[in-house]
Amino acid sequence: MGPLGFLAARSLLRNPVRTALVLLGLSVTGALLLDMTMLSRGLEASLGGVLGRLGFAVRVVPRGTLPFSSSAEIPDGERLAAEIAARPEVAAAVPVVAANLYVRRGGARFPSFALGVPGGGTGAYAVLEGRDLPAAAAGAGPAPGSPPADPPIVINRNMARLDGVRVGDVVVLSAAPEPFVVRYAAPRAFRVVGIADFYFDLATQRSVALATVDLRRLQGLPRGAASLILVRVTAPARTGDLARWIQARDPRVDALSIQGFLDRAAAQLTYFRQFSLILGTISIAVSFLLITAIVTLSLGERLGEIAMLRAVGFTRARIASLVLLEGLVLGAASLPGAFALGLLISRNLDAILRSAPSVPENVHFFTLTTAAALRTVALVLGTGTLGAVYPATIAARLGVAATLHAEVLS
Amino acid sequence: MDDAQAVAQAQHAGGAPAPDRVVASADAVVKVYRMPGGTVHALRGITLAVERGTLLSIVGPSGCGKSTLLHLLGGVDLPTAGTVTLLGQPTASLSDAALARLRLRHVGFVFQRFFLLPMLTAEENVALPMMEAGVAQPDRRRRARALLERVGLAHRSQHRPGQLSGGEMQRVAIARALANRPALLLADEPTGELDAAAGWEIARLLREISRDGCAVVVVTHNTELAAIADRQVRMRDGTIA
Ligand SMILES: Nc1ncnc2c1ncn2[C@@H]1O[C@H](COP(=O)(O)OP(=O)(O)OP(=O)(O)O)[C@@H](O)[C@H]1O
Ligand SMILES: [Mg+2]
Repeated sequence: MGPLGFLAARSLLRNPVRTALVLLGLSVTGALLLDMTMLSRGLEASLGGVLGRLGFAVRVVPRGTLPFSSSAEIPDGERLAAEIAARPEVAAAVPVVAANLYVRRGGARFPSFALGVPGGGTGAYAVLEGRDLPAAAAGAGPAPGSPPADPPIVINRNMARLDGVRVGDVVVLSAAPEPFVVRYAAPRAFRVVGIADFYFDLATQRSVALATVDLRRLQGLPRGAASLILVRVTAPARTGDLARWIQARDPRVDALSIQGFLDRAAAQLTYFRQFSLILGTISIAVSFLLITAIVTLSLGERLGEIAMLRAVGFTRARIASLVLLEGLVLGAASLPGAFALGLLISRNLDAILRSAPSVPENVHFFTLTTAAALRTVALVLGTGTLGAVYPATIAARLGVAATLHAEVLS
Repeated sequence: MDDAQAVAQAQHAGGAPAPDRVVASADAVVKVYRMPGGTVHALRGITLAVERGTLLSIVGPSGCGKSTLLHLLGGVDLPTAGTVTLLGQPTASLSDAALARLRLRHVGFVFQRFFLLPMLTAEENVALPMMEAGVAQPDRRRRARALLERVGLAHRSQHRPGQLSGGEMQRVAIARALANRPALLLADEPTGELDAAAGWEIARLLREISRDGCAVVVVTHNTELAAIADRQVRMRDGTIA
């Protein structure tokens, strides 16, 4: 370590109590900055994490929408999915249908989100207990001749937890709330075969997955349309080409890559970024002023020492660097506290925000990504250094002889 | 004292210093401070040469310009008129950074108020100019210890200034001033804040340092310190009396 780093680090020890208080203050502002950096893109990062885990590189949605954000459907979605699936770079193209159903069990009746899938094994949800729906070919119902059994469904954890539904139980689903049952939407009994994580469920939302044929039959609707096509690729590098091909093939859809999905979602979440930008800027400003004040104050107390260093042979530039480094060191020393406090606060704030309605269970608002951590570190160190610019200028301009003269008189 | 020194001393007595022995010199130096309240003529034409191996004391009433002269000789300030030559180079011709380098390598300063860094140990304070000069860690450690031993503080090397007495602090400051083996040591009232016994210690030390070949200039009100100097310059009102 050169003499400047050595001196700057030791300068923290000059007045330990004052240093501790300043570091405490900087930890608080640094914690706020970290939280705002985590919040700024936290939802996107969290969403991106979940999407990455799901493993679908492309989502085909009705033009201008986000998955499940509206009741719009791709009219011939099943056929488009088959065409996409036929391409060499595609491992699977799963057309799914989203709907709202009503679940009756015993005397209770509650609304539920329903996901129609061609069959089991699509990866659109993760089975936690029991088993998945049968594979696509078997999803069409009982083989001819055998007694008609209750078709299978998979339920989410909320339904298991809130309504006490177990694997093996029978529940009745209908497309319309009773008593407005119509002929084409007759209620039907289903047997629960598994319990699953549906990834984007809200905190108290019930969800079920069932074969699309069964769902359409409940709805009294013909097959063919899809709300969403989930595409899994074999060659991630060609995702962009694939998306362009799909888009060209059917102009009524958007083929969203994960990033495209996130960008579209982010466009609807700009208020988080604006909010964090404002509070983050305030925290930087407070840190800046705190460092400027404390370094200037401390400099004023040791002008004689600075004059001595200049007399010894430190150049003006070296003195300026020393003072800047002191700001940098203050910033660096505040980082452990800022991160500890910031993570603690973010956990609490995240819990508060997540308790709001219509927040998916697997999604977080505050996400500590490497980028967020690095950005915070860079901002804290930069603020520390910039905060010391004013005192560094004073120190560099100091007249050695005049200061020594003044020091003897004081 | 060897023959060469004796000759130089003799020449000096005659008034003309031997050029190869001159470390710093002032030639018709004037220093004027212009301030809103008026102009101060701190130096009004000083001519003086400082030689190797010589302890030179500067005495005179307060405000006569002693410190100003010292600062000019050490290159921390520039003359308003006249020339100050430091190790053969007119200080006014050097850039600020070049002057700083010259001071780092060849000039040591000792101040009345010591100006030790309180958060550094005695050894670290002494090593500081060597660090800035880029001396390797083992070397500067060895030399810092040797210097502290020389000023009689080997056993206090790990103590901070706050744990030392005034006399001890000034000895550490002298060790620091010697760190880069300067040709010129400038001390401005080094005993000003010390009692008689501690002052005498410092005087003895400065005398030794000059005997080892360094040019030592000491500004002092201390008559004992002034008396042991090889040469005494008496100033009055910005001139040499
Ligand atoms: N940086 C400065 N700005 C303005 N005036 C100064 C400055 N330095 C010295 N002076 C003035 O120049 C004159 C000589 O000052 P100097 O400090 O050299 O005196 P001195 O002989 O060292 O006095 P003392 O024995 O009290 O230390 C004084 O009148 C002083 O006020
Ligand atoms: Mg003085």
